[in-house]
Amino acid sequence: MGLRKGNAAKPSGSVYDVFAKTRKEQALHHIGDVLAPGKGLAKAYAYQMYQESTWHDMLAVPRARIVTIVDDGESLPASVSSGSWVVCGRKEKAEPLELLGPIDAAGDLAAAAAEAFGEGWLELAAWPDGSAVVVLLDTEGKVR
Amino acid sequence: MGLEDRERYFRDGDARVLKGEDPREAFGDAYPALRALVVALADNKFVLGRRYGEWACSGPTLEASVSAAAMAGDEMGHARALYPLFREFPDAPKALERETDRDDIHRAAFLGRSLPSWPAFIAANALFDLALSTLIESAVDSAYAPLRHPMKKILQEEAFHHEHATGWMEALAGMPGARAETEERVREIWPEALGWFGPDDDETLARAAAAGIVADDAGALATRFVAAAEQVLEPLGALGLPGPGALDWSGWDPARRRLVP
Repeated sequence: MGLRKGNAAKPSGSVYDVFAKTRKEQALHHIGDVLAPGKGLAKAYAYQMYQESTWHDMLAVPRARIVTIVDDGESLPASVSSGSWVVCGRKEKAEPLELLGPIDAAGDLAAAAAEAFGEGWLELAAWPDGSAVVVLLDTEGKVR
Repeated sequence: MGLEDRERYFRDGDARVLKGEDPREAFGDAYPALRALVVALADNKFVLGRRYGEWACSGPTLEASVSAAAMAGDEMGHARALYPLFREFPDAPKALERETDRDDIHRAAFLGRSLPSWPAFIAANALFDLALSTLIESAVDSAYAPLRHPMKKILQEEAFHHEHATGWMEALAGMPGARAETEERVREIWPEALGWFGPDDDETLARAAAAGIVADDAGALATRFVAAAEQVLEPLGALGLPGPGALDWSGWDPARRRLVP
């Protein structure tokens, strides 16, 4: 019998954080997360779980790839290999994490992020450029 | 020709029949093929949506359940985009609101009952949904203009159904407790999915292709479907599934486009 009866083979998975925006000129912001065993299902789940708006762009970022730079106002040591990183942050607890933009970091990710985006962050995090799964890109509202 | 008509002709390119025009006059002998394909597509979408919806609260994970609900909504939406076309066909059956509305629902036989397990759901998602999409893809530039817009919109949503099927097929293939049943469900649904296109010389698709209602005949559609299905099923390894030539067509029902009585 299959999974319904006994649910013997529930898949394990990884958490993907979902970022999206409804208009081209908006910044991508955190709208939730999905648990998926792979990138393909993360893409399908992100699209199917978050249908409350007509999204212009949507990304799913594997949480395992996200490095926390500032947590609850405190800077954390974040030494990384050099490369391009995508940074998101928020200054108020009531706000969602918002995508700030890419930076090039060599070693000290926190210093590079502070130089690019300033101080006073409640939360700041980054993921290696290219590690996000593109769910929707520049749809111009054609897809729900 | 008024301004509105000219705009419609401009927008619809080389379409032979526009909304509100009688398709019987334009397509002649091919009209029954157009009607048969639209009715079968709409009914199958309607019932597939119902079967998906039955898993909206009982998928193996929260995400799986929500996806089942979303895909059910998509399929019902696809059916509802196609049913208004029935008004253009004087001899079309009643558009479905419930499965009990007609005795002659034009659906695959396996959709007449609930999908008994999650692997069965995924097999239907991977194969039958894909078979319907293969035909839809062939109608995006249809000479019957009213088909064009719904086809494009449906395909955008179906891309995520395909991602769902591909991801789950990979996951189920790696689960010792589910792999054998997944293979079994794939073997069950395979003849019905491939059978959707009919035998290579299927008259309905031959006439529809000749009239430009779809771009491909049954043989070409089946070939494209098999190639796409093999990619989705790749995690299960070689299953030795029969090609169109090896299926038993003795039970083929051309009116309802189904192989299994």
